[in-house]
Amino acid sequence: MGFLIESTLKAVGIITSLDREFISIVLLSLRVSGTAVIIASAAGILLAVGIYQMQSPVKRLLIPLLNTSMGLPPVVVGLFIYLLLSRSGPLGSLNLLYTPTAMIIAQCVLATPIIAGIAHASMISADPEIRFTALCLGASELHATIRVITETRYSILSSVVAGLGRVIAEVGAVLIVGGNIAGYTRVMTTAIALEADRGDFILAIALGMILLLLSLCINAVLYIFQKRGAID
Amino acid sequence: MIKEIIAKDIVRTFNSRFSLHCSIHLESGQTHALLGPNGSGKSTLLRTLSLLERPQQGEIIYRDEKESYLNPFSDLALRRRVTLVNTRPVVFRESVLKNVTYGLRIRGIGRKECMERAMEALRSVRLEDHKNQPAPLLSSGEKQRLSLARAIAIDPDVLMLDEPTVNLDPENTGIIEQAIMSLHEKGDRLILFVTHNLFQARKLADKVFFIHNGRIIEQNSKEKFFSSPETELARRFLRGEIY
Ligand SMILES: Nc1ncnc2c1ncn2[C@@H]1O[C@H](COP(=O)(O)OP(=O)(O)O)[C@@H](O)[C@H]1O
Ligand SMILES: [Mg+2]
Repeated sequence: MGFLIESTLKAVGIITSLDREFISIVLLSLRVSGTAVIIASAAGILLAVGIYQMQSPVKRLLIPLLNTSMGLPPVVVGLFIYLLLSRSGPLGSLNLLYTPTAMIIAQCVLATPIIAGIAHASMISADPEIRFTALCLGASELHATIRVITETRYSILSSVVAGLGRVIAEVGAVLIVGGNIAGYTRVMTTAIALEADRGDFILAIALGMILLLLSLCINAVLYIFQKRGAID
Repeated sequence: MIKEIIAKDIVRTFNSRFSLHCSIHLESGQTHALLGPNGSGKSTLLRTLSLLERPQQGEIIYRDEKESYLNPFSDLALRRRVTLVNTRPVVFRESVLKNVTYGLRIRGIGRKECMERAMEALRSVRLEDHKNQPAPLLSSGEKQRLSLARAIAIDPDVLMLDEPTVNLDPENTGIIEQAIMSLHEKGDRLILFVTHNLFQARKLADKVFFIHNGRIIEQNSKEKFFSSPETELARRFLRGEIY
């Protein structure tokens, strides 16, 4: 027990002293996951709109596929991206393996179906008469779709936040494609895994606290968006 | 300005039980009432005439001073000269004012003109004091008035209204009827409305169409329709025996 308290106090020391290594790991996490989610938001929302507008029977196949990929295991995605980017893989010539870019790609693949799935679900659960009302008022098909998106803006924002919450906490994919290289591809989750493995708990606890804090913030924002989406 | 709308033998079938099959001729400057029992196809006819849904057969012709347009369902510019106000008002999650400017903004009308026209429309339904309120918080009567204001702001050549005052108290009903009459007084608008309120039809309409089971079985001037209906079904409808 004394050990735990002592480590925790030291961890707080690391956080408050703004230790360089610690800060750079946190910033890299935010940069990788933030960039991944920004790209995934654009892709995911476009995908959701595409499926929403789609008339063809392929739609019936795409929706379960999308729902399944919302729960892709990060290690499997990591492995898949690894195979794509490895020297003998189809994209090997880009030399992206073990770079932050590779990590961004992997997290983007994880977040896109989550954002697309939640955004699509909220668009179809929006009052179907919203679309019709927009058309009655002279909207083109595109305007009517934009109107549906505007009406579900809080649910769509919460899909983005949910995507961020998922990727910032995942370890499998970034570990495989990033390689956990100190000062280059080491992010919060991979650092925690490594430090804990080495028996050096202080940095791990400090990072764990920040990760929890971030999760808390993300969920608070999510809660606010979902509330707003439900009320007005 | 749209001068007339002609629907020739339009057919819309949903299932074996119901099929709309009718012809109708509407003229600008006139207010037309569409009366008929529940499920007789009034809403379906309005959605078809306002170019939102295609009939399976038949044709719809819109004519203005210059041209005739045959089945102009995918002609956005023409579609924008018609506005349908639905029975159940669906308001957007924005302020009352933004709801009213919606139809103008998508038409690319400038900010200043948007504001002027929106405020005028809001005044005509007496919602100007609510302009900054979130529209979803309005009462149902106010929502229905907002729904009409959105259409009035557009200033369409053709206005169709599906039971615009259903379930409303006399005050809200009066405000809406007044706004419809003001539009009629402009002289060249084509108005078609559905109602179950016979007083309202008498008050607002020039011409009455009576639809039963998907067919228009009687059309007449208001005076003739109410004083001497020609069909037994219309007589029974006016006596309140079918609804
Ligand atoms: N989209 C639809 N799909 C299937 N049936 C419909 C649809 N719209 C209307 N109907 C049917 O058509 C008939 C006429 O409906 P409607 O035009 O709404 O009548 P009214 O407005 O006169 O009450 C009803 O029997 C209704 O159930
Ligand atoms: Mg109806």
